[in-house]
Amino acid sequence: MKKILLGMAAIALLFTACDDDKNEIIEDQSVTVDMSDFYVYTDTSNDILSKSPNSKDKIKTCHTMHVLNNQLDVNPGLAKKMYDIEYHTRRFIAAKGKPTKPGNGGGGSGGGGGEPTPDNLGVINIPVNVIVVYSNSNENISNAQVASQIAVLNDDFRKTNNDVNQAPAEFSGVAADSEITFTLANTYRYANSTTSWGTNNAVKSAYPPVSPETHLNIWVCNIGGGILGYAQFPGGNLSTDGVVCSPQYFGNTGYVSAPFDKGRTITHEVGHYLNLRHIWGDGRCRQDDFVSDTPSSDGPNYGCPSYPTVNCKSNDMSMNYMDYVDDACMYMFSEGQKARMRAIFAPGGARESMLP
Amino acid sequence: MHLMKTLFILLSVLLVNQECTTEPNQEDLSVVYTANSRGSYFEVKINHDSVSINRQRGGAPIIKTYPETLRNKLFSELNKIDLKQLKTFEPPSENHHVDGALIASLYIIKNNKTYQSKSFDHNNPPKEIATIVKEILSIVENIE
Repeated sequence: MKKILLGMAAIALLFTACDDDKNEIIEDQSVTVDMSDFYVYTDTSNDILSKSPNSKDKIKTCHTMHVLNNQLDVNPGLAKKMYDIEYHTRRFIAAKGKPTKPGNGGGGSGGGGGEPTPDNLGVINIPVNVIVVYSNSNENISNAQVASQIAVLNDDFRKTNNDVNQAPAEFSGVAADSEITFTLANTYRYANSTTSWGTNNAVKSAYPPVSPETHLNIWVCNIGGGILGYAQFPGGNLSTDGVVCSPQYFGNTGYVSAPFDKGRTITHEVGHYLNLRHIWGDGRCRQDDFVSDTPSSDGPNYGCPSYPTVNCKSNDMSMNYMDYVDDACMYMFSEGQKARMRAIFAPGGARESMLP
Repeated sequence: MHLMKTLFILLSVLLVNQECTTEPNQEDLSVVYTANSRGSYFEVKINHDSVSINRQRGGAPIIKTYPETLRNKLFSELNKIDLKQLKTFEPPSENHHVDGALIASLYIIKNNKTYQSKSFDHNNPPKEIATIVKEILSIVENIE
């Protein structure tokens, strides 16, 4: 009888303890994590049991009882923490083994991150058509502004940008020369009364891409709605293939607007065009960008974050072109990203046809 | 004695299986909607009493009261949602993956516990939360 009363008291304790758990992490149910074998104290180990204040309780084991035992510990907070750590550990491992769903147009050959560049492709040159669509004279940007953007692309994709030396030691080793260059092929200019083109590819319908199978097309027109630029992954429709950017964020001279006035919007969009995902994987920690040398993160960074910025228990590579920081605060692609980009030019890759 | 043991086990199972949370009152429920991109910032927080709207990253929000009719509409929708399922609702489009839409997220906070949706395209939420998002945006429209 005494035994039972003790047990009742124990359960009452457990019940009250729940009040302290309001801020516990919401358990992720989309990844199956088997915690049934987890315990802090065993009922069978006399060694540990003898130290437990409840050692007189010889309650036989079931999962609920394990949990109950944990809660009965003299330090219930520790038991809870251990449970959480174990849960997170298992969730992380389970998520890693899980295939991640590719997004729209993920038709590239999908070079896995972290692999050595699997090619003999040498330096890949991409000819560029710039299509300027303007509703006022400011938007009819100068040839110098166009040239400045091409120069930024070449610097950023060849790692000749003069700010890459800011990379912290943790990441400087994987800062990559992607060995991709860009040559301005043509600049087309069209006057149009439309002041905001949106992101529904309307500008591409009005002014179709020129030779998209061999050329990168960049439309420069005012987008509006708080969008600086947008892209399309490889594998999408050729009639909409390319990237779009508002004139104020194109190039680094002329009609440009801080803090997006260093041409990095286009570097970022061309990254998408070459099959790169956002560095945070567009999801929570366990959703990956398919690149192994970029640490896991659970969302974009903005502005100019100080190093280190910690998310998902690791330092974010916030200076990566595929994050959302200001132009002056992004200055590198990683080796894994390089491999992923170049893979689409390899035989069978989505942009193989772009090679001469 | 056997009866007592049985009773004990029964009670244990019953009690342990109980939700730790108590039935919430309205003050324990609030909602946050964000829609961001590199070039823009939008965050709205709504609780029972007020609406807070911020359109500048790091800026100060404007905080206002809002009409009861709109509150009732929103909160009745919020109470319909299975919060544990919020993170499983699938976005119908993924344009934000290539910057073609603002990245939107919905957070529902109940009894100090935050439930978060997957990121979705602003203007195209998962169908399960479409009405909630619509009600939030109409409150914003009403305030501004």
